[in-house]
Order: sequence, then structure tokens, then C-alpha cells
Amino acid sequence: MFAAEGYERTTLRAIAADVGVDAALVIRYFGSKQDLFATATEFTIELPDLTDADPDDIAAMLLPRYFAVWEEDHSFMALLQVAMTSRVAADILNETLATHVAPSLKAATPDNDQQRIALTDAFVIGLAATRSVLGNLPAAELSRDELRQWAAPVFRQLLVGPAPA
Amino acid sequence: MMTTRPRNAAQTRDDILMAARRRFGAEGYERTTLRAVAADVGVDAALVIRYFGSKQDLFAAAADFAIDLPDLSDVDPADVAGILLPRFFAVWEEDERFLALLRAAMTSPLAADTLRRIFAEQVAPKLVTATPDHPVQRIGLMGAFVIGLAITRYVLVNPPVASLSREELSRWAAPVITQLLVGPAPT
Repeated sequence: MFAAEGYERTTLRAIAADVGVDAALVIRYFGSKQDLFATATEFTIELPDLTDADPDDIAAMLLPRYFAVWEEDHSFMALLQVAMTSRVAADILNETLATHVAPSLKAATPDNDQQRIALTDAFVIGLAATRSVLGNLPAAELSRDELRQWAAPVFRQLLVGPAPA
Repeated sequence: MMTTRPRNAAQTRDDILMAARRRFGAEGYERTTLRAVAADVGVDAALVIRYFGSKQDLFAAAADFAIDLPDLSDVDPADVAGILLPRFFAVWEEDERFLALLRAAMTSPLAADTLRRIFAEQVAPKLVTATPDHPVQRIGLMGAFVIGLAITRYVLVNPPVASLSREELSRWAAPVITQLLVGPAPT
């Protein structure tokens, strides 16, 4: 319902009616609408430990984990879509990136952590959006293997490459 | 004492387009109604239909914009990123059209088609002039990177991305753009 109606328009009453229970029961189980939304779109992303990873292996280590989220986890796609028009959803996504993604990437970065992680997140969100949501830009036509090959130098440059002067 | 301001047709058209961009951008394509757009401007929905036709036509008019990218055939590969980045910032920041289209495209197949058409007609042909080989791969990843920057910086307002200055973002994005468009093909 959040994905179809967006965050602002979805009501606890409508969700309760869909499952044939009282709105009070939804509140008892999940708390506020915001809590319910956070639970409904919760997704886990487990990134590998990149400490001491060979820079040339980073893309191959990260991409399968990212693919598992973009292409197989519908709660992530729903969150990304709802986040396009809802501040609450955008904040949940930002918070997830900060707590579950940034620490793993930070294990690889030699300096300028914020810049390196920021641009890596932007690249990954862009790949997810073009491949799994928009689905009709050239990036969607590449096989996973081809994508990994071409993304590898980008991950290497952003995470461990020389800091630009 | 207030007098009724006579409405000039061209001004009304512009007002409707601006209101449409705001609505489509904030609410997405499906949830936006012609009635709501008309109410924002203080006109009747019938007038919006007379000017623009269907909701789909109004969306096409509101999302229609030109991205002005130069031909890159004779540009030194080292200069490509420096030429492109200010153009990208212009598209992202100069008016609401691109972000409205991007937001709508993430939740509507019709809007996604409009985005694809603009990319295919206005962006890809210019980027391709810089690429030495593998145009699909290079432009595919380039498109993903640029869309990802726009989403994280302007739509999600993701703090690490949004807090970078334009110069700092450009400095870090430049080597990626160079690698993707003109760098050595991966083996």
C-alpha cells in the first residue's frame, strides 16, 4: 500500500481494513504510521569486510551483495520509490545507508571517507534506480558480469584510488 | 481596492506548466490530477484540458526540456569531465523540470519512458562522441552515475552527498566520468 499510494496518503485505517482488523490492533503491533513504514520497508544489506581487500577485488566483493538487495529485495525498491516523494522515507533510506553501508565501506577508504562513501553511495543508488526501477536506460541492458567489469574501476577509484588534487 | 487581473493566455499557460511540475514532482504521475493543477493556478480544469489536452499531454509538456550538451568529438579526453559537470549541475539546479521528471519516473512507467526518450535523444548521442569504444557500457554506467548523483543529492538529500560543495563533488566525480567515458576498457 505504501508503494502504491505513497507514504502521506496511506492510512493505518486503510491498511487495517485490507487485512480485516481494527486500526487499534495495527497501532498495538507497530506503533505509529512511521514505525509501521520503517518495519514494512526494513531491508538488510550485508556487506563484506573490506579491510585489506585487494582494490581490484572490491567490485566483485560488493556487487553480488548489492544485486541481492536491488534485484531480489522488494522492500528496498519500495523504499527507494516512496523516498522519491516522501521526506520520512528518504530519511529512513539515508539512515540505513549511514548505519549499514557506510561502516563497511569505511573499512576500505584510506582518507576522505565522507567524499569516497558519498560518491560510492550515489553510484550504487544510480545503478539500482536505472536497472531495477527505471528499467529502460542503457544500464539495464548490461549483464551482471559486464556491469561488474565496468563498475570495478569506478569502485576502485572512489574507494581506494588517489584523492583528486 | 483589488481589481481582477486580466489573464493573459501565455502567462496562464506558463503558470499551469509550473504548477504541473510542482505537482508531478511532489506527488508523482499517478496521483496528480488535472483538477488539482487547475486549482493551484485558480483556473477551471476545463481550461487546462483546452490548453494541454489529457493529463498525459500535460505531463509531456511539463517534463519537456532541452539538455544542452556539446559535441565532444574533438575534445581532449582529459577535459571531458570538466566540460560535462557544469552542464549537469545546470540541468539539476536551474529549474524544477528534471527533478520533477526524475521523481515521477521512479513511480510511473509513462514518466520513465519520457526520461528514457530524453536520455536517448539528447544525452546519449552527445556522450557517444567522447567514447573510443564500448558505447553501450560506457554510456550505461555514466547514465547510472549521473542519475544516482541527482537522486542522492537533490531528492534524498543524503547528508554525505548533499553537504559536498559543488567544487568538491566535481573534483571527486571527475575521475569517474573520465574513466567511464574515455578510460581504458576493462579486460
